[in-house]
Amino acid sequence: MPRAQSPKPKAAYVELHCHSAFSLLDGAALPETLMARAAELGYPALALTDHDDLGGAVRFALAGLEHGVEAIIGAEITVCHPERSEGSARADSSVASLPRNDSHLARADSHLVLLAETREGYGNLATLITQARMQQARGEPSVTLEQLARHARGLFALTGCPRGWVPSLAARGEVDAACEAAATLLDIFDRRVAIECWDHGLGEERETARHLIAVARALELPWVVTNDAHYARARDRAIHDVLACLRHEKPLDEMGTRLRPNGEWYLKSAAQMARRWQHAPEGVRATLDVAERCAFRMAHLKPTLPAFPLPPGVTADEYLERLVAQGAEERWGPGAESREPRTGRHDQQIGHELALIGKLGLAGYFLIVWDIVRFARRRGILCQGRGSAANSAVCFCLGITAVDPIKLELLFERFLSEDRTEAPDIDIDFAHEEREEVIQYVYQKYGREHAAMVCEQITWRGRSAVRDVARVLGFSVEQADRLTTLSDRFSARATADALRGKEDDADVPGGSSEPVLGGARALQETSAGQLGCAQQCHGALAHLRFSALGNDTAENRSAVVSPPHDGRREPNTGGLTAWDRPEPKAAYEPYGNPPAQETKLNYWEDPYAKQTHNERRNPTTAFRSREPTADSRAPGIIERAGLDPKDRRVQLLPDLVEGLHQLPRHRSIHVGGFVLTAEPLSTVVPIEPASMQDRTVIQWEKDDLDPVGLVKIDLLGLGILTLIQKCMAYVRRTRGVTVDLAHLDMTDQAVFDDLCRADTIGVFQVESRAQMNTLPRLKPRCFYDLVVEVALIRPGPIQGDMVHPYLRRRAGLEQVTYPHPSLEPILKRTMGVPLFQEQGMQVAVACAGFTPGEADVLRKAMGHKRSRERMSAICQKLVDGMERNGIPKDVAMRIYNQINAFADYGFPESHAASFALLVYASAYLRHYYAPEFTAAILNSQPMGFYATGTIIEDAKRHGVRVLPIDVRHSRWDHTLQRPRGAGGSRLGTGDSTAVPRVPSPRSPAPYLRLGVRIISGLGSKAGEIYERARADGPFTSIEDFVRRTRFDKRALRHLATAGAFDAFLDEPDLGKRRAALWEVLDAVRGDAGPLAPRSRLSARQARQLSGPKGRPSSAAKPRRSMPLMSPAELTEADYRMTGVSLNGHPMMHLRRLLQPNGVLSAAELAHRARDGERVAVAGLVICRQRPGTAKGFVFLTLEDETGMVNVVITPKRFERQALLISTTPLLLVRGTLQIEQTVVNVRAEQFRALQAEVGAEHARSHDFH
Amino acid sequence: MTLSEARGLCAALEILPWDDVAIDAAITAVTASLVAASPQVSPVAGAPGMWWVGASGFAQGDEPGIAQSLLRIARAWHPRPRVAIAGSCVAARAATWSAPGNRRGGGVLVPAGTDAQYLREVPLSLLPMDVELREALQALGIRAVGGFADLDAGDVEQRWGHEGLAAWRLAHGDDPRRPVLARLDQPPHVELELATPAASMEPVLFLLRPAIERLASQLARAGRAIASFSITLTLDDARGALPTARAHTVTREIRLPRPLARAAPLLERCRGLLGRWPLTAPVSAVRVTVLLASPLSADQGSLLDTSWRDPGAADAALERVRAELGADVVVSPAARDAYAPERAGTWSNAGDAPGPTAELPNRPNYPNHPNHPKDNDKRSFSGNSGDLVVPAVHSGAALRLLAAPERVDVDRDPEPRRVFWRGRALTIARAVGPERLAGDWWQDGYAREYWRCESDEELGELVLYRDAGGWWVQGWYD
Repeated sequence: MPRAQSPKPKAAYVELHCHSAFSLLDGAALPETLMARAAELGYPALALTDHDDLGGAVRFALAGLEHGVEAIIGAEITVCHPERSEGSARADSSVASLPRNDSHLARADSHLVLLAETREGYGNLATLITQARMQQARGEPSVTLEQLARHARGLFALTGCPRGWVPSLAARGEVDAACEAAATLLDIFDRRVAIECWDHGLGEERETARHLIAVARALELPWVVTNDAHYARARDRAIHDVLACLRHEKPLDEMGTRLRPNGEWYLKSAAQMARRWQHAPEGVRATLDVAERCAFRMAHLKPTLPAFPLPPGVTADEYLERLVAQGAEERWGPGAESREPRTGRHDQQIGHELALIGKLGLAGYFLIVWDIVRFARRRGILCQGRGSAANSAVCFCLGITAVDPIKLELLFERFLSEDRTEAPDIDIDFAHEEREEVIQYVYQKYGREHAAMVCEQITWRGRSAVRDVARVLGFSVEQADRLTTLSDRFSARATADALRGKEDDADVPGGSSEPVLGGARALQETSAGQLGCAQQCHGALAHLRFSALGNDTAENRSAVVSPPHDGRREPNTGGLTAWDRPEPKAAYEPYGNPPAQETKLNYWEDPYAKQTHNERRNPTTAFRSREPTADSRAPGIIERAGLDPKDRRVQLLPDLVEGLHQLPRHRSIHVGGFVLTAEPLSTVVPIEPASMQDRTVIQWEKDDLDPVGLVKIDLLGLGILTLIQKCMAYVRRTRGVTVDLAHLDMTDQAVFDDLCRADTIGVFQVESRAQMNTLPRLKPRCFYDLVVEVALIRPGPIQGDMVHPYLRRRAGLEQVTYPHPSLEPILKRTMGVPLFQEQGMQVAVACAGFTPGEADVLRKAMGHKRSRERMSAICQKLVDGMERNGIPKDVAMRIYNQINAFADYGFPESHAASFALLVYASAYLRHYYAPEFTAAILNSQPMGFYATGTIIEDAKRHGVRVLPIDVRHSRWDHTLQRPRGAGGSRLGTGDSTAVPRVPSPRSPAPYLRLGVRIISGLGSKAGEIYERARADGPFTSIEDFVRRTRFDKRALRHLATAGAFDAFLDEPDLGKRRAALWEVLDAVRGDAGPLAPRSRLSARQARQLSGPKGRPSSAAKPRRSMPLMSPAELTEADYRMTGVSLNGHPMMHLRRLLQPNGVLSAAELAHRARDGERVAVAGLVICRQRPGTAKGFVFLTLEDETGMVNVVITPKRFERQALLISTTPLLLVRGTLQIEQTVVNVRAEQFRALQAEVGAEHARSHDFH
Repeated sequence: MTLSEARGLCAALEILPWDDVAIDAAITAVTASLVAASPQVSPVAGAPGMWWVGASGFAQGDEPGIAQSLLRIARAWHPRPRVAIAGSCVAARAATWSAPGNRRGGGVLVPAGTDAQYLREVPLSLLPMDVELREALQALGIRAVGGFADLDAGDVEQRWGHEGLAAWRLAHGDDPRRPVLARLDQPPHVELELATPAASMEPVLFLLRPAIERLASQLARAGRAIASFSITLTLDDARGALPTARAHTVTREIRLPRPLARAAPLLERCRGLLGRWPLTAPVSAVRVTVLLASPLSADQGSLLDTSWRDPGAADAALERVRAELGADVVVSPAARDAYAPERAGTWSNAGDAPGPTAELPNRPNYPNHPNHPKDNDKRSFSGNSGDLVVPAVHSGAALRLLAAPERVDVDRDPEPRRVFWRGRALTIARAVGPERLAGDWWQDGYAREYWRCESDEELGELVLYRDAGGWWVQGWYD
């Protein structure tokens, strides 16, 4: 492997024992930081030896390639062995005679450093870690000596830290025992062992080292010096101490000698090590020999996919070709009812794709994915590919994706090309309730030895960092809470800046004050200064595979990492560093400020020239305005939290918080990423059990996979697919209509009418407030409009101020122009506005002369979770390239800004198209089958944007007849019931055998019968009990219900209060529920006391007195009359029990009070009020939003008995009455009406809480998600 | 009010976790203080902050006086206490919420025999009952106690059983609870209940103090002294919210060699008795009854008389020393877990209750590893394989620290060879080091290199360190 040129002569020392932050809570530096420091020190190599973990190995190796430092992969393994007192530590040379780890023996854990010499050794190391993790209790990994012996080949062992087996014996002065232990290791590793010594300035260590060297000499073993590094620089010791505190769950003051006695555990220079070991320099020199032996590099990993089982005599390519041909016939063939008949173009595209797949040897991969999709289909699990796979005709023919890429002219090369070095990425969405079935199928099919899920490394964010550091420093819980609330930012670094009072300079390293500690910031700045921010290395390089780097390392490096910014602004480039994430102009729209955008002559103007980025803040607590305050003495966060800024600990707080920036905190499971390998996966990467049952995860994140050539398949859960799946099943049963998503009429203008009206509650992707505001402006009239709509309301286009220009151009209010003629073909279909990732790639190729490979790097940066850092790395190259192509610098910068906006997540066109299909499908089903759609969405809860009550209110407004809960008819789930006169029976949504099939597609719309599940507080097992009891026949009375279900009193009371028993009682409507409750209480009580029998009839007497048809026995005996409920009480009871009322909206009861005071209903507002008019509205708050893209503006949605009202609140007004707005369920708002193209908003000025016991407090709202 | 709302009103709000022990202690203290107003005081079980105080047995028409007396005592604990006097506990409790009475700040008096009538208009929430019953009644539309009282007893019992019936009886003012019934012809006594049953005698002793003080002063005012008294403990074998069964009591009598009017020696007798009294069940109440009183004599006590010996004499002596020399002069040594020698020990006030004993490591235990035994693991600091072992250079020697390190000059090569200290040149025969210690960076941090130096003098082993300021002697082992 070629090395990069190093400016320094190589040092005569290699650190062979070094922990990164992946030794969770015992390492204070990221792998990249350690490598950067190693390069500064001139190390020829550095070993990574995390505790039972290889999570940082890929990042470490990539950073090593970047810095020209050889990355030795290793780990410090925990070995479990019997205490020496139990017998011999060594029994001859036979592994079989090693001490047994019998459970009755006392056991001790020791540490052993293992370094990979060869590929086999690496595989053994990963296997050992897997066994340590999988076979022991969670969080207590260890392997036995027997396991070690079985997997020792290719590994070189160091005797480890003071907790090592040999050193601990030596430290006790038991030199003979230490010799025996070392000899055991010597046998196991076939003399590939070295004794490890250290000196951190402690007398104890020096004494131990003296014994250890004696052991080495006695056994003629080499001995090496290490510094057992746990952080990169001495000043990082504070961060390590903080981590130690978190591990012990104690504040610093109580740690005592649990902390290390000094700060010597950092990467030291060769000169320092030589000075310290001047009395025995051979130990320092020997490190080079060991490093030389450990020649394994991550680039040697060549994992392969499992072979797909094929019919005899058929190759994978042939089999794939057959399947594709068959699929093409189904998609475009004569019988396919397709509006897009098969042409030569189709065949040409398929041929092209198959040829490329064959050339890249990916047929097996496609077959594996096809097989997973086939399994889902067989099980009736709705699924659909998303992402760039939708660009492929092969995927379309295999049924993996549902969007026709040829019809939509999608770019196949976005998905797969020869230039791309990594495997294509296929993400598949499954109906979320059944996804686990698919996951377990994959495990079962390929075996847990070959399949595992990808992990997600959770790092410290602003909130967690402040809370943990405050706790460690000894602040009270309340102080920590206050600090957390006040300083809440997304990243720990930005939070640290906020604590320093650098509110508006968050994430601008150059603006930072000098830290009190030497700290992480200083390190990062220094590292960045020389090398590009160390923590960016992984992100910036993750797109590169080791093989690619091996061929063209220097070129790739220069392509990606240049310019080596020091993280500070550079005036010549307009300050466009990674830290300059754009921020929209003052906005009152979720996607930007129309006036601000409209006033521009050319939207390509840099909208961010004078702005800096502010990170997302907690929407409910971040009240403070971000505008610079006129009063320079205004208290900062520290003061507002009631802390003394002069206090030493308070001063330390920001630096410690920043020190945790991006450090891994714990490991979680990726949302759906799977990796499969032909060889045992544990020889590629350690596997460990996930917190979820029956799941296993690898120790690498998704960004670690590409560099080593692991292929990931994303098996994701998507609620809308569950909804559509259920809805289609209901429609089949109620109407006899089979809806085929693949053959929907995509031009149905009635569906588009709904979308244009923003009548989209429950519709996938376009039900949010921002989408609903855009729809009437965009006026979608064809499928591609929906693709644009989906892509448009995303943080990327919003922050890039692309929304309003696009809408204005679409409305013909603005001329379609292009910043450069070369961009016209690329941007024409989106009216000159870049909306999709593909366009970003094409712009880079056309304007900056990027190769497709480099454009792909750009694309990956745009979609990467650490994309801001990566985009920054590519920035200069893009701008330089454009300048070389004759594009003026200012234009180049504007183009860059637009593309940079995608760093906040833009969609690829194919992905938007896949989602748009679901948008249309859900809108279609909602339009034509509203009862079924409503039943499906209610039975799929929790999902979507709106609460049950809002969905039902909306369904009622769309003519769905909703029937109340009635235990005689209601099932646990919501059901559909045939209208009277049309058969009259319930049609059901559950078991199809119980439902008569209605052949006619013209069957009338069914009624929606609310299910018992909507009643709160029935318990998790109630559904099963209820359905089981119901299977014996309909309930005939309250007593019958109580007897058969044996629900507890609380559940029965809820049922009675919700009106589920109303049908059993002959009472006035307003008296039924209390009467039912009185009866329930009577029926549920056991044996009566001495007084009760006198006033009761026997059961037999009651039956005799009961009326015909088994009418309720309660009618036969005198019942004490309870007070009647008022209509408002009825609504209140409904909302309290179910979150919705069929007896009237809460606002209905207040209308007679509000109307005389000029408060308009939603319907009146829409039809009578005028733009600019001052109005008053009131309603139930069903939605509160404060998008990160809206600069503090808050958006409320109020619901009343006639519809919904949108309210916009400026940041200042919100801050003044934040608590009221955030917590009041019923709100009266006065403000100014704003109407724009049928979009109606009230710009709020005054707020008043409405106090009324009408159930509003029980309504659920969608708040600040 | 939610926590966030409270924080909104008061930024400096300090929120303390619920602490049963502290609350019990506070209740016991208030109980003891209320004895000044009435000899029958019972904290209400399950309702911290509420007491039943016996008002019967006092002169007719003196209720306002008792109320004022109680209010005066209670104001030491709460700025706006509420007091009500009624024929039943349920009516009294409901009446404490009467707004007019509260505004006047003079308590509320419910006329005798009108409890049931008074309760009819009282909100249902003021009637003690099971939460489920209350919710059910509210769901039935019943809002006031009268509505509940109007239900048929059989219906109530059928639906809510005995507990419902008990609540229904309360709704009629029929409350069996009483603080303690006092009779005028009873011998002088004080009866007190504990907030929660105590498994030890400590809280009992705490309550005995005001009880005995009250009795002693009561008799002293009448020119009499206590010659014999008894202590009756009510044991909590089965204690519910409503007393339903006869309590299990145990009584011991104390006969004094001579009558006493001072509370202190009486208390000593009590302390001795309680110390020998084995408890078979937790104590829920205590009663002190004067069995025999005689005229008060003028005898003086004698320090030489063992019956007058005061076990608290040592404490008193130390108190005297503190009074003379300052509050913090009496101290005892305690070990601390720290690296720096001067931080490895501390002095704590001798009078302070000893805190939890710190478990100290034998040796520095620095290797911090995730697999490091947790603090609750018995292996912690017990010399496990991860601990470093210091060579036994000075095992058994005591470290004498100077009050403050003293600056010295050192000849070194590279180890210290001679130390110039207090005008003397000490030749170092053997030096062990350096030992690098640096820590406490979050407060007043330090960074030193330590040497232990054997000198030829009689000083033993000197403890030297070097920091940015030079060389220092910190102490020596002897």
